[in-house]
Amino acid sequence: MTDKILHIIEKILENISVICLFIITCFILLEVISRYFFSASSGYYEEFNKYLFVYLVLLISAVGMRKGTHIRIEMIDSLFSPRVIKSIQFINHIGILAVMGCFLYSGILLAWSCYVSETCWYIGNIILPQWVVWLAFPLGMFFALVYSIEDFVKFLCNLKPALKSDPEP
Amino acid sequence: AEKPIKAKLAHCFPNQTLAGRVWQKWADLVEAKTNGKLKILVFGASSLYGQNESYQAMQHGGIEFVWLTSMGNTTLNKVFLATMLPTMWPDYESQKKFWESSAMEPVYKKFEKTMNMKVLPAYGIAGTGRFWSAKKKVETIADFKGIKVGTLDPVNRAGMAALGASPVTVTMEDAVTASQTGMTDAGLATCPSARFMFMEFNKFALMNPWYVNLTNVGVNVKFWNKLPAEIREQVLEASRELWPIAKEMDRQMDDEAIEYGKKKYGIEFYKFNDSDWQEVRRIQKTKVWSKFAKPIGKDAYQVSLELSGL
Amino acid sequence: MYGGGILGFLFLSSGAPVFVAFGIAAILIGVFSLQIPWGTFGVKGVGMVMNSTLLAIPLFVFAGNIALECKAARYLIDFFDSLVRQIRGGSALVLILSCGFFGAITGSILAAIVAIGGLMIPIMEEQGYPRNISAALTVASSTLAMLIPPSNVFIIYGFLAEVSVTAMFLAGILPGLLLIVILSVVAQFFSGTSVKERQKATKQEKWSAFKKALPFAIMPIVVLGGIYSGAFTPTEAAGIAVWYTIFIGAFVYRTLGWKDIYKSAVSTVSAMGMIFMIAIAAGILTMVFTQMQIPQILTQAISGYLSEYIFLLMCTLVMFFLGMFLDGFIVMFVVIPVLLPTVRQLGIDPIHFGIVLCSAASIGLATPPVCIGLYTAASISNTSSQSMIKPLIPFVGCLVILCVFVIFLPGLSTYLPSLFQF
Ligand code: NA
Ligand code: NA
Repeated sequence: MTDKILHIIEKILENISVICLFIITCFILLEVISRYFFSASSGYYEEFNKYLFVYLVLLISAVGMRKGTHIRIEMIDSLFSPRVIKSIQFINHIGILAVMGCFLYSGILLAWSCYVSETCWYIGNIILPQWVVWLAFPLGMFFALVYSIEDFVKFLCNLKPALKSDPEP
Repeated sequence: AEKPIKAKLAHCFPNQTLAGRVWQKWADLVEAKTNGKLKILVFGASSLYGQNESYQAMQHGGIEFVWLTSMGNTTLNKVFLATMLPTMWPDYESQKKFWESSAMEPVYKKFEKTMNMKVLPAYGIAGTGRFWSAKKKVETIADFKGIKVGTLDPVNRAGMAALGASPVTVTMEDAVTASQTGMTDAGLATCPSARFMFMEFNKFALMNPWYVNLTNVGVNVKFWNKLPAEIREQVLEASRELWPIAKEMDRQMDDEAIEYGKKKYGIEFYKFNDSDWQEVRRIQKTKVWSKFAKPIGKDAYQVSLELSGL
Repeated sequence: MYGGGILGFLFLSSGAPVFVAFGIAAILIGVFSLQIPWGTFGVKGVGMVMNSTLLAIPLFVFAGNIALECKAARYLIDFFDSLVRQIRGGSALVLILSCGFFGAITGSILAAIVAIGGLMIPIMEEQGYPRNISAALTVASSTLAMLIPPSNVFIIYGFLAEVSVTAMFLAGILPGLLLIVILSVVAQFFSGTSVKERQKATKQEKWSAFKKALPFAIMPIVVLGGIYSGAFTPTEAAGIAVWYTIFIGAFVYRTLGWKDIYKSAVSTVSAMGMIFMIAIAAGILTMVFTQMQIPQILTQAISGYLSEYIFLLMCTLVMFFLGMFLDGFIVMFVVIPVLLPTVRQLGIDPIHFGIVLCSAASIGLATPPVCIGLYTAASISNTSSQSMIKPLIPFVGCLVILCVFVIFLPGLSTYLPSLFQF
């Protein structure tokens, strides 16, 4: 059940990112067209694209936590015994959780302070509150944290059988 | 001797620009006035925080001092749109009066309450914006028609469109490339920054003041209140001393840049005659300024209209 | 302070995601040693990504992924094949040229390996090239995607060093062409007696191959020509590239459907999550370095003692060494802000410096132990990555030669930009 919900969330996040990418691509075409065919340049699209891109990156990076696609250096597997590797991985999991937690905390502080101080971006006639954009950071980090916890739980569940079946070095 | 108090000021302008020099000067003045008791480390060129980030960084205490520009301030309060209105400000003094006017007091109060920011009367100068063109000399209002002007912000975009020019949105990073490749054939910039940006691709500079850029300092309230009263007084004193120095620095850099442009690239620096320039400003007043009156707010708009002398 | 750095390094080397390692170092040093407030981490991190110059990257990658789904690379290969197949070792040439040309469409090295290598390695096997050799050549040639514009690494460099991306795109052309020449010469030594000679193509064959490849082949002209002529900014050109590939895929080659576009979009956003999460963490780490005043300390330590060329050589070695383990762009995010003041102090043209770093990074990119290109090429050619290492040595040698040329002939990087008055 939990697995299913997490999977659905993953798909939703992935699709939001894809939609952001499509909108960015369309906005750029609109900007070029309006410049060449109507000799008018709004500048709105470029502004919005920046903010869409922030959402694209942060939401998909949470998905990357689940799929395990984030770039890492994989060298230790060949260097140490399985037991040592398991303990290194354990420490890594703790590190990931700590960083995600810290980033989430930092993001909440940031978005909240922008909400309280009512800072805005003024794009033509559209007023965009800044917290709407900064919110992408805590949101992305929240889901990344959820998926890192999931990953950690799975790791712990696999720990015992894996260690039992290891032959002593 | 006591240990000096250390503080940080971050801004987004390259260190060799007027704005960069003025704030380094302010930091030096403060250090001298306080006999080295308050040391302000200046991080320019977005090396610590860029324009988007510095307000929040100050609010959270990541830096103690933040640099306030018209453009950046509009993200905090729409009233600052007034300081960006094209051709509204005849000189620096008139805009300084606006920043100091009673219409601005509620804005500063709000900053203190919601942003942890106290606005100091430490005025610096970032220069006067001029209209640069590459292909044709714009001598009458009709000449603006069809010129592709690279602009950054909605206010100047509207201002250009009102004169019949075609504004093209280019970012700071793209401005040079755009004028070089012919994507734009005109642009707005101060003389010294044009020198570092697109001066070589232009032939004419219209010297009537298009926009006037003042800057100011905001300080984290908690930090400010913790400072000894004596040091606070000395900081304010240093700030008052800055204004004439900043004006002199601006004049020098402007003259140097103009001399450089004339000699190196043969740029023609010229002015509109008075009646034509008043007509440009009247067009801006009816078509552009009035459009932004609502976000600026009634009181502040009224004050800026009076100061514009139009 | 050092504890944070060491711990970050341990995490980095023990298989934690790179951004986590950067984050740990930044948080430990920043919060506990410099007392940087929590709220500022997010500001700096997200502020790093909020930039329209960087927007060109997802779009160029998107265009490359769509081109991959179009399967139009085949026409490109057919065309080059019709031109040079009678030459001894012609198919190696075809591989190199196609990689170079594909590189002019995308900035993505992996897309080049999959699109060109996937088709060429079997063809080359028919011609008598052992798989491991052609796979190794593919890895080395794929670095052309980075040197020949558009290039993600150039965009990132331009952004970090405040250099015009257009100038960087111009600067990469000559070194890219030079690498094509060097690789072609060296590849000749591997086309021994076992490699079959082939009939020259007739004029008619050439013409029909040309016509098929044309829509794809004019894409670099549209994209790069658009940038250099001032029709578009690099970011807009990237967006146009996406629409152009969709157009030719859907209407000219008719190989592209909605599903393919969606698939390319998914792989694009996934890659962006990887790249820019690192950018965010690296931005935070850079903020910490700036507050420690490391760039100033380094400038004072280096300038006055080192000449320009010694400094460039040292940077190359550092870039190469770090590049063995990390992608070039990751190294750049951390290294450029630290080194740039020194570069300025020594009077090195930042464009030249960028190309030097990028060519040094290309060596690391094709070098084990961490080499995603190697694994990708191994998997598409069904060979072991172990067997590719020996044949890879001479081709990596080509990259080293290029690097030497680039360091000592600044004109190679700066000549084209200077024509455009950069
Ligand atoms: Na490329
Ligand atoms: Na490598």
